[in-house]
Amino acid sequence: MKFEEEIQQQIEGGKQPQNVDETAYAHVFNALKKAPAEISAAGVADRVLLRLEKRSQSTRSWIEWAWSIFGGLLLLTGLGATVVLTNFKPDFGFLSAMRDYAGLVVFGVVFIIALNVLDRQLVRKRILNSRI
Amino acid sequence: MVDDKTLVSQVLGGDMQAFRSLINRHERLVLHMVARLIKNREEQEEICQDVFLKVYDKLGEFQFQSKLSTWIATIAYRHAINALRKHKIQWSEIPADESFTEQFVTVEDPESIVGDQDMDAFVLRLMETLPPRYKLVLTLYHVEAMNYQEIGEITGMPEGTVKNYLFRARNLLKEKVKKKLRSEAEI
Repeated sequence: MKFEEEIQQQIEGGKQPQNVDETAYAHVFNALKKAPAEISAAGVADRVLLRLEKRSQSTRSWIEWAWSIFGGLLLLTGLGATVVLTNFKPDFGFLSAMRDYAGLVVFGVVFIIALNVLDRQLVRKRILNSRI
Repeated sequence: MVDDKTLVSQVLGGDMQAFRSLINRHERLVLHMVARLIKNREEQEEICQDVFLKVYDKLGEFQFQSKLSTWIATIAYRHAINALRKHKIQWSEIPADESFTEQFVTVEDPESIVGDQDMDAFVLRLMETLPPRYKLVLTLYHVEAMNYQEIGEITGMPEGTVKNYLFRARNLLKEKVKKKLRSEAEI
């Protein structure tokens, strides 16, 4: 083993091989300097930076959600506090008077929806066709 | 060229172009280590990316007690080991010296003996059949030109063990090359 170690050191140190053992070591040392062939270094930095960007976007969106929820809760708290502090009594105003004309209200809603559907289906299509 | 300390402080200051430079500077080391242990290309790329994401996350904790490359290599080493474990490849297992040497040298593979005209390719192909620890130590020493101490830091092995693994691995390869040289001489 000591002998083998010495040969390894000598060949690594640049000694010219004189026998089959040394020649074999010279081949081994020469080959070992070579990098693995099966690597693809292209674009590692790009992909890592892209992943970092995505990660930071998802963190940002999480923070935005958290702020939205916090804002919503704050609004609800404010509303609650206002109701309590001002002795607010709900008053439906003119809607109370409309209670007697429920049929008219339903007709109005249906009429507006139907008008929009007709507009979409007929009028806009015609305008588009006339432009082509 | 910007030195490692400046580069690290720039990255910590949020400079992503500095981090790109850091990756470009060290990707070869990480790729070499990973490629020696993991054969699947997609997995190699995935692990390399994971290594640099970890580097980015932990860079603030790096105190320059070692070289930046050694620290990055340590992270790459851990990721590679985890990947090997996922594939149920025994990382820590080094076969008993004599039986493994005997088996490694005597196993006849006619194609490997006479097939490779290129000796370098033959040696590198033989290297793939060595235990993972041997492959890694050989790569860090011969390809990355690291010393025993640095390899010890990366792998957590004592310097004596690193030296011993290097010696044994080269010796195994030499025996096989010697066999090939003899068989070529006989032809």
